[in-house]
Amino acid sequence: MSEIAQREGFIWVPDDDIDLLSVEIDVDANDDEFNNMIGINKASREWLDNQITLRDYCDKLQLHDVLNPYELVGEFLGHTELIMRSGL
Amino acid sequence: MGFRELERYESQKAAYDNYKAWKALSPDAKKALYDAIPNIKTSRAKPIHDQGFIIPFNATGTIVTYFESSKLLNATQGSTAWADVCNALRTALAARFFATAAGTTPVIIKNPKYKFAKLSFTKKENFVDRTSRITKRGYKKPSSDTVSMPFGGKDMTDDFDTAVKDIKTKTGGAVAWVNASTSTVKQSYKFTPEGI
Repeated sequence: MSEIAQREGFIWVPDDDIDLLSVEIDVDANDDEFNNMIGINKASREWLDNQITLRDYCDKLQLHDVLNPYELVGEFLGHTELIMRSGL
Repeated sequence: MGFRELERYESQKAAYDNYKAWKALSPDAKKALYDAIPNIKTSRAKPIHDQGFIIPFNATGTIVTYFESSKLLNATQGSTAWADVCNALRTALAARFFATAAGTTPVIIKNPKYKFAKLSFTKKENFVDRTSRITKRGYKKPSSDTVSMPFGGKDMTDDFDTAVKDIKTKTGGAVAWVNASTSTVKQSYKFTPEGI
């Protein structure tokens, strides 16, 4: 079981894989954080569309203030592997 | 060398032990604990969807190209807990989705591999004290509703960045949505770009 599936007790299969990678902002966010949100979600799309490599993706996440990119990407990889193994 | 890390271990050990005990549980036992969280199974937002059309970004030419989507929010969501989230989202994206494919001999693409750009609104309210099923630590559990909706350009020449800027700052847009947060209601949003 992946970390995400363990927490929720079921295998979440989104229509669009970006739902597992994207981030949101709240009312406290300033303009920098808004730009980071857009940047992170754009980088996720570029990686999912195979336009950039995993290493470039992690670099971009760090550029946008994600301190430990592998934590985010690692959970994603674990979960997509589970989805593929389950044939969903 | 100081003892800060060791002191941190001592203070966190109880929660870490609880986490390890939870990890060792069977999938069924984990699911039972998850389902025991009040309202978690029944309160998931299930908005009413409509079929409609979206114009992709950075398109060219005079003949309008549409992608068909079945995930557009219906104008009438009833009196469900997530109805106000749906209505706010629909207002923020006004003119960026179409009920009918207008224009002279429009091109309509059905069941595309195209991934729609989406705006997603989240509303968290009614925070109650709960004990975590994983670490046994206390936290504030909100009732949370998240709704997302695909959007596209107003016309063929629109691009994603311009659209985001417009939706963010317009009346009833994304900034207005988060600014409606209060001490007891927390609202947030995210944009995700399109994929081809």
